[in-house]
Amino acid sequence: MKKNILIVALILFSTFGFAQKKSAKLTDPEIASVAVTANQIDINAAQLAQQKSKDQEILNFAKTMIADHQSVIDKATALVTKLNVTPKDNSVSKSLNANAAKMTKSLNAKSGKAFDRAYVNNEVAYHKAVIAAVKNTLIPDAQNAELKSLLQSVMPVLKTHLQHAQMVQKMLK
Amino acid sequence: MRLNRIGLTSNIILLGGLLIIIGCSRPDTNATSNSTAIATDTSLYELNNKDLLKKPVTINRAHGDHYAAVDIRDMKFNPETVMVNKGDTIEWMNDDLTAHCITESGKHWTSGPIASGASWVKVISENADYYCAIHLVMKGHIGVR
Repeated sequence: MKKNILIVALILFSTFGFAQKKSAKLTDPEIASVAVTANQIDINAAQLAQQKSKDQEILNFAKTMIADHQSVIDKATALVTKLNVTPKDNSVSKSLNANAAKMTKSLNAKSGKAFDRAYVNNEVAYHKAVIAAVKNTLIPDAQNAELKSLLQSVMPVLKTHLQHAQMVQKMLK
Repeated sequence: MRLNRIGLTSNIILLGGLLIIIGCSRPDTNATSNSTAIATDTSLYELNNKDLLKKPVTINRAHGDHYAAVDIRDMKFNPETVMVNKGDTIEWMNDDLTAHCITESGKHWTSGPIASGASWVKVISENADYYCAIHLVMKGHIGVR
């Protein structure tokens, strides 16, 4: 049972581009880049949902995703500006963008209820993957205390998003 | 004569400043139907900071003085259940990263969005269940003793 959970977690982790070898520790500029990229990807997906969906629950959820993830980006941008850190593109952020492009293509090909279900299923899986990445990689790797603290304060937001997405997922069934 | 003019000018500036402060201190008037229940008593606010105009309004009243506070932090209302007497004021302070709102479960009243770092106050007249309409999983309860 535990083995199965681990396998599922690893699949989710790598599907969205968060797979990272244990030895390759991310630097703070790289963590900043991953954080901004991960938030922007979810904003882009939500904007797509606003264009394609007519379901009020989906539209409300998408609106929340845009507002919350933009708020996190703003806070992260303010912090890196204060710390004089320039976000550095890296293999994880590149992988995230590449996988997001595939996901966008897949979502774009759907419409109606099929789109709604695919979008919310993706949101559930994406937030699970992001929570795992923030908890197991970004927070432990962060060197600056303020950056680590910001990442820790993002965790409850992500968990709430996951619960919200799961609630919408049940409503669509 | 010149001194008088300076004195008059100062008074006008002070009066203008006071009016601006009172105007900015009023609670969100965008609240829905039950907005009359929202506290409009500007004496609730302690105006002791020159930077107040740039910052969210803060109420520094002690707990129990017809006042209770609910801290919004880590996507939770703390405490989730707040007990007050009829006519008491509750202040919800948003110490989270994101905007939140306080919406009565029957949608009879709502705060509208409360930005990160801002707060909202309401005079309580009856029991109420409420939730954040932005984050549906966040729920709280007001109990009147």
